[in-house]
Amino acid sequence: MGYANRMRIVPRLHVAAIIITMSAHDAYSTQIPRERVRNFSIVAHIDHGKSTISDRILEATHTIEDREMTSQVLDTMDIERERGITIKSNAVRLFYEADDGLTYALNLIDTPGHVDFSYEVSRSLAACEGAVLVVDATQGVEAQTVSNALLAMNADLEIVVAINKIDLPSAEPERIKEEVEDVLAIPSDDAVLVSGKTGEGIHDLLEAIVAEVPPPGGSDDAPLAALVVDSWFDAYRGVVAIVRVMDGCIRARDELRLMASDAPFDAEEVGFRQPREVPLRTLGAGEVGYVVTGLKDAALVHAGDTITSAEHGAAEPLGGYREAKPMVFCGLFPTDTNDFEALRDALERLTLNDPSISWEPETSVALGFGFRVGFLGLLHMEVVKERLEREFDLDLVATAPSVDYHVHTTKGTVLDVKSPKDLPDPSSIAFIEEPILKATVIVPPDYVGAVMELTTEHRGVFENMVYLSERSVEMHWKVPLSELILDYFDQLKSRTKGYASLDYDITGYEEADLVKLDILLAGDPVDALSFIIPRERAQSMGHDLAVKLKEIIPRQLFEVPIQAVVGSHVVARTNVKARRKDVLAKCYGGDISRKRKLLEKQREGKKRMKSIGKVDVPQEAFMAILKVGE
Amino acid sequence: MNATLSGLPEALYLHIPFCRARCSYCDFESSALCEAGVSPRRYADALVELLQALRDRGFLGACRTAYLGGGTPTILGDALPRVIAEVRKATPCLEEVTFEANPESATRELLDKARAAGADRVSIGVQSLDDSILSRIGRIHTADEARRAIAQAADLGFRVSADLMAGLPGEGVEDLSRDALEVASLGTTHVSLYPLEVHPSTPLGARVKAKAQRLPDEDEVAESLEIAQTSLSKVGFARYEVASFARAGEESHHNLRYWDGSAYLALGPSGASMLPKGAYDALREVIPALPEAPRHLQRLRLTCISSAERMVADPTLASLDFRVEGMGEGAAIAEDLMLAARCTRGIPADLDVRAKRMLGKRYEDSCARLVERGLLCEGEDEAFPLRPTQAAWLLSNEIFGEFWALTPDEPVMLA
Repeated sequence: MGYANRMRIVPRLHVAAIIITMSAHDAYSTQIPRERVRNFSIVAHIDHGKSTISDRILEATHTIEDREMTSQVLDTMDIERERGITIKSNAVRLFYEADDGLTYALNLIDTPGHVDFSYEVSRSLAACEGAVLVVDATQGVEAQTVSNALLAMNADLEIVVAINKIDLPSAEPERIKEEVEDVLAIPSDDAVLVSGKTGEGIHDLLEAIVAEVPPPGGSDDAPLAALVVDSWFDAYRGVVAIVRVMDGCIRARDELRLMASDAPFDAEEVGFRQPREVPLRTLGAGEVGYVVTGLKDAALVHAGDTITSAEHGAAEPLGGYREAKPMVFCGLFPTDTNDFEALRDALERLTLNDPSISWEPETSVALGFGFRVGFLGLLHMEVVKERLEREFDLDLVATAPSVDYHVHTTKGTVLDVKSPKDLPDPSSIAFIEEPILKATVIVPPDYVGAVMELTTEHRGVFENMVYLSERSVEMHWKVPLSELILDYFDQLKSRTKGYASLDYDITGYEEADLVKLDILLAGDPVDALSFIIPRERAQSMGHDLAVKLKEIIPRQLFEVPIQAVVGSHVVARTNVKARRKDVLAKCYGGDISRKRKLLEKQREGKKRMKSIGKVDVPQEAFMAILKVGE
Repeated sequence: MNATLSGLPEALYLHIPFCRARCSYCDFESSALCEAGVSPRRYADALVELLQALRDRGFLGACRTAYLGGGTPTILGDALPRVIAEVRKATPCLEEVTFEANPESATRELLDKARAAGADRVSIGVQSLDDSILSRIGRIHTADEARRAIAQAADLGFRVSADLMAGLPGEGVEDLSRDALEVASLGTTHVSLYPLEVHPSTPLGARVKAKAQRLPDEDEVAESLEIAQTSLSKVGFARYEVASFARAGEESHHNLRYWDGSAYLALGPSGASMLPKGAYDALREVIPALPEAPRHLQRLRLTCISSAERMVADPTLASLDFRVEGMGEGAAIAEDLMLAARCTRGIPADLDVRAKRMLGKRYEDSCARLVERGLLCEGEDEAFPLRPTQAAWLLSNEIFGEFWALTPDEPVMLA
């Protein structure tokens, strides 16, 4: 389990040690008045160095002993570290002795770093008074620099600009400063120049945080209102929430209530994280820390909810709450049909930590019993699939991602169709609506043409474009979400040589002329290969997909015809030839062990395939639609 | 029969790790070939000493067949007949002594001496009768040299086998058949047909990867093998194993032992032995460095990992090094099924009975599946209840894979 990592950080056997530190820090923290508390986040476009800067800050404030220092300390899941992205929020308290001789408590709230998680980012920012905006000194302002800066401004945060990677020979800090001013209208004379790699400038950055980020407001005596920033499930203690106390205070054993989910609970423990947990008697107004809720259902503890007292609580919840809504759906099926229950257990356990995942059973003729799983976005989907496979040792087949279509029937009803195979017969469909998003693409001017071409191909409707500076143009588009979840993002990256950055927001639903494209293997329809597509692209996509499947599906003992069909009309056909030769011909004394291993390898490969009728279909076939352009 | 009961090796293999040049498709580890700095003559001396030691221990008393392979045994020159004579001396009841020969070094004189020393069968590495193909795959002989070697060996009274390869660069689908018919007409009584396997680590593999060499595709190779097997059957060569064709009674008795579960012993770098537990324990008395095998491991597969250099420096049994893999009874049965399915006669009744007892329904289900897919059918008599179908020959991995997957436990490495 990913959260095993968190547990490792808080070894259960070292309680005595924690108590010692606790009393020391408890005294320490209570001595620090609210004027010397700073709550801040670090935000950045992906790969601009947010995690390394966090690491350097933890080192500089001696929050983490050198021997405990790993990179990306705040990213506790293996996948976060490997992919260099943050998925869960985290909050750590640092004690910093500033140049003025006083000690400050800095609460660093780490935010997820991907457009899939923009709501979670907004909740983290709502817990802060300031944000460090990290901008790569070689790349400059990119789409998520803009969107994160806007989020921070909307949350009324004081923004400290940090120009990172100044150690690189290609760094252009002065140009980037100008760009920040031009594009974001943030004064950057005082921008701090840092290198997360060498640690240069980190001291200046800490001083800037102390000087520029205002201390939190609020009153300990007001009714309790604490914002839930994130939560996770701990097998021993139930749901643990990271909170920002806006008003009032939380004491251990207080009787509390979550306002949106209307769930009562007792605060079993409160404290702050370093990232090891340090229990406190009280979390006062303006403080950031954790609350052990003891609740067993993570779905009750959403980011954005308000915690208040069970009695005499706050009259109104804090603003900005929204339920996480899955946008992208795919079928997840165990390769081995016996693993269905194991997959259900795994989804249940994963949902404990990530209530934004939705799932319901799905049955496929081709793939058997599985689940239709909903995700916040494509990255979220990949991460969840990978965690299911890795942490729960499952072998899964994922079907191509789909969106939630609104299908208006001739009878006047509206169906939510999250899986192509649930699309009703065309004769009973009045019209179909699909989710539309507002996409912001930032590129150097040279690539405007390429983005125009690509986005138009993907049914994008151009709205306007703004020159942010001589070097970057911000383009606004309306694009169907279904286009974005296929190959749009990869194509955007490759056609702009990696210069383009993308940000998006779902804005609503619009009608579109869509049809279902079915694939037949050896004459039998394979429901898991169906997908919904604009009518005018059915023919070409059907052809491309049939050709791609021919590449992916290995030769079998018999010929396998592949047909792409819309309704009863065959739009493309091809076939996988019958296998002619598969024999280890030379097999004498010395060859036998080696040949056995080859057979085992062949078998392993086969086991990862799905038998549909008599055809062995590799897992990637179900994602072939995503690879058609390659 | 006694031999089987005692578990002593019934076949002896001697590896001759020398080649004058490496063929461009060869992926043998260099330790098993072209040993620089080792004189072939002194290597032969070492083999002679080791054979004497084995004989003195009574270890070779049950051997019925011997095979000198390589590498290129004919590189040994005059030392070859010396080794063959020693094999004869060490193993009193031999029925067949084969050696491999490359056309360029199989002189009439050498063949004559080898015959006189006691060899009765020779397997000639022909590969192709097209000079341009031969040079493309790095063979250092011509088609004419191969023709001459076959004719001379036949003339000297050898049972002659020829190896031919399918799927060679530049080969047309009719070429293999034409070559097979020609070697048959020159006096061979046995032909082996191997599809070329391209390994990425070889010079040929590199050329193919760089698209500097086109090879016949799967369909063309299948086609050429099918044409060749039809041609061979028309001139009296019947397939008796996946890659082996022979006139009646001319099968390789030595090779058959690799596929029927018999014990065999090999000497020389990379030489592979298969011994039942009893024989292995007996060998451990002579080679104390061999690891002890737990009782449930009934079959031991040994690979000699001594270099030729080391064997020459210290030609004693005790100094030989082996990698040892142990298999339980179920694994041994699964392996035997996999190997039996190589032969046209099919799965012998006693193996079928043991498989049913040991592997139960899973075995029967596998057989049913294979029959349903047209890869296995009922055997010709009670002695062999199941056999591969004609259609199965080019797709035998389906059968091998199915049978090997029946193993209840993985082989374990002991050393």
